[in-house]
Amino acid sequence: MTSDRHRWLKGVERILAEPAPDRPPPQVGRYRILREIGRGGAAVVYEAEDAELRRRVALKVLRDADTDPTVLERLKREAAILAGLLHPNIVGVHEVGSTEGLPFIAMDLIEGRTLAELLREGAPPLPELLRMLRDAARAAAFAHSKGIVHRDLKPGNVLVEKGGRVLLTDFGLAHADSFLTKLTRSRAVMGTPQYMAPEQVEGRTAEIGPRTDVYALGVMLYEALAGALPFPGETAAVVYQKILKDDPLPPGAVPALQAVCLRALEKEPARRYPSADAFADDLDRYLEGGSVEARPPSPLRRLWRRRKGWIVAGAAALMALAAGGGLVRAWREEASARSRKEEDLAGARSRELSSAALASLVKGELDAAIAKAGEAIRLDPRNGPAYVVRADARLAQARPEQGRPRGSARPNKEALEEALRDYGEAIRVGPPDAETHAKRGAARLEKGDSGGAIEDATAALRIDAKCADALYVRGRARLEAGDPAGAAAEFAAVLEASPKYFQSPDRRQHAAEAFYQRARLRASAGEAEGALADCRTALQLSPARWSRRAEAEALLRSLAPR
Amino acid sequence: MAGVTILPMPADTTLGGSAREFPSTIWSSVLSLRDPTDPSFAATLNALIDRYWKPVYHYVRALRRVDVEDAKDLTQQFFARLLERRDLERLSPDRGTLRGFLKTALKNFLAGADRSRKARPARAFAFDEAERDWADAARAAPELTPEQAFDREWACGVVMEAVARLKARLEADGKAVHFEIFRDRSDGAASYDELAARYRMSPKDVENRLTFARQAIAKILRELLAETMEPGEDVERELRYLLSR
Repeated sequence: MTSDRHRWLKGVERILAEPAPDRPPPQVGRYRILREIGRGGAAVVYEAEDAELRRRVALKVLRDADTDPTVLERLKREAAILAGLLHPNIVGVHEVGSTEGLPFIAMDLIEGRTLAELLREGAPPLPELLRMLRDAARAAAFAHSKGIVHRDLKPGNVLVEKGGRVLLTDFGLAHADSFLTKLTRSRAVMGTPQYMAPEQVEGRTAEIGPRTDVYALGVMLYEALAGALPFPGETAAVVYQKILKDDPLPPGAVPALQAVCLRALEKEPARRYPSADAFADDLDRYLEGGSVEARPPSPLRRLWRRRKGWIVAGAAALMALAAGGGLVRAWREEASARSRKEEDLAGARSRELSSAALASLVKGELDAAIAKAGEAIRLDPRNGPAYVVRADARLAQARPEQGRPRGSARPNKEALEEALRDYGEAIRVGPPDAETHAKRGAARLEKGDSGGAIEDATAALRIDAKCADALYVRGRARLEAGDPAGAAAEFAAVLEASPKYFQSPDRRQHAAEAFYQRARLRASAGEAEGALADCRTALQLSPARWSRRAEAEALLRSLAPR
Repeated sequence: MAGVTILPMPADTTLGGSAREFPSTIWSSVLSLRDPTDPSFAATLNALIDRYWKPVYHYVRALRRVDVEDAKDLTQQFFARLLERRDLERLSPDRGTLRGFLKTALKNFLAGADRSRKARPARAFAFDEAERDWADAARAAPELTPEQAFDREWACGVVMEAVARLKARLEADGKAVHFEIFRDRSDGAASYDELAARYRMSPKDVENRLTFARQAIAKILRELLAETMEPGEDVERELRYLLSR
């Protein structure tokens, strides 16, 4: 085993020194790769030759290392639909498939640039841009007539040929792409949120439809007119908030075009153009010198919308939370995202206080954390994270020797009950969070409620199947409930998901105990091999001073083959 | 059941963070080592010791090739003194990598080691395992200097950790065969054709799986290295250094 270490070191060095990691496989399916023509976050696009049909194609190879098999299935389903999208302004898709591990899409090879590139390099004259957007809108309308919504229209997905012909690409793949992005375990931010409509930001999937694409067309028109995005921001959380609650500054163009743009950018789908065709019609009217249908929004409605924005700002925060995964990170982003002047003061103050409470907790200033979290809750009883901080602080306070393996005081009953109530509130007001469930599970365990702990851990694992804390809690609960075999299975899952989880002595002690007991069960059932493995695991995991070491070593000796 | 008492969850879980690996706000939590009252001190210290005790042992072994027990003592003492003497308080981002810091601390410790009294062990270390690894390393390269021995053992530790994570990730994604192909290729540099025959697939499929695994392990190695590096430090350089050990 040991000489493996150096072999691995040299082997990994050798394998990484092999041809560049992004080198295209020379052949993907029946396509022979000729050269790379572009790359994005999750995919590389190659020029390739279809060996059977002897024609050039663009081959998009999804290269994300975390690609899930279900993504491919979905891609294939979509391929059937896309095959029906024959339109002069839509890039034709030939095939969606995979060579083991690498899903790909073969499509028309277009000689041209993306609209994103054109805009970056200094936009073409406005009338030309307007014509491009009109054509893009017509193509989108055609797809809508076939029941397909693009969902990810943006300048990067609009190709422009030399002669000026516009082609939409990546049709209907947006879904799969965003799915891919979510699957990446890296902390990479999600794809650009700038062109997302409010209904997408809030995840109101039932409302996503043709008008979602109209919104994205509106963002592109805004960009064409103002030379800037309507909702700029450095982090996704900032952009989400602005998309949900801010009115875009007027893009600074002739009033008719401004009206077209702002109508497409209405927050509520029902207030936008009813179809991409209607948007294209208005652009046509403008281009032909006629008057457009869109009217500037009235000042009264703007005011109303601003008030409504207060409510949705909270939703944006939750959304950022769900997307970011880490409470702390989301809070920080949200705190910096805040534009004070038009915010609900109580809500803002509450969130500010819960951030401050968290900071106190991290610094170990537990009284301050509890007081601040309490004030945050008073100001906004639906501030879930504040409940969690208060509960964490109460538990920490009740056990000053926390983290020490022995002699640590159990939290007193009162603090435990209060913490349980707080975790319960956090779970009740949402958003669903695996860690919160795992924490309540741990607290229930301390109360002696192993059934409740298992329930909570299971709920956590439904949200995040790899939540090591939840697996650990469930293992502890099973051990408490007299099921060491079940406990060992849970701890084995923890080891699998997170090999370094067992660092603190008390975690080691519980895991060692479970494995040792399972080893004994297995030994008496005659499963010598399993017993031996468990016994070894137990000894490996056991903390420095483990009361059962001698017993376990004796068992090991009795099992070990000569 | 007997002997199990319900102990509180350790500090790290109550903060929603994690001590399984170096906590993700990397260097800032390494800096928590400067302050023993910092809530993440214990967890970070454990992670630090986990990753570096063996390189320390190898350093000492390379320095004192005769006495195994002596090397064990010194390793124990080094970590115990590191805490006692509060060397960690001098940890600072300007002083370079954590690895560099520890090597300097180790050098100073060994130069002035007060051998007269036994230190309380900082933790129980699996010295038998470390000794086997040491014998192995010494066999492969008998002339290693202590510094080289430290770095090499550190590199081995990081690579083994990366391989373990790669295996877990690939297996969790139903890609166990990807890992096997990767292992076989890195082990003996079997040709694509040989691997294709072994796994009953085309050489092209072997190549695709290898590409996949190669990207994945490169990503994992970068993650691991970034864990103990200051943001902005050159992970790529560290990776090249690691692989050249």
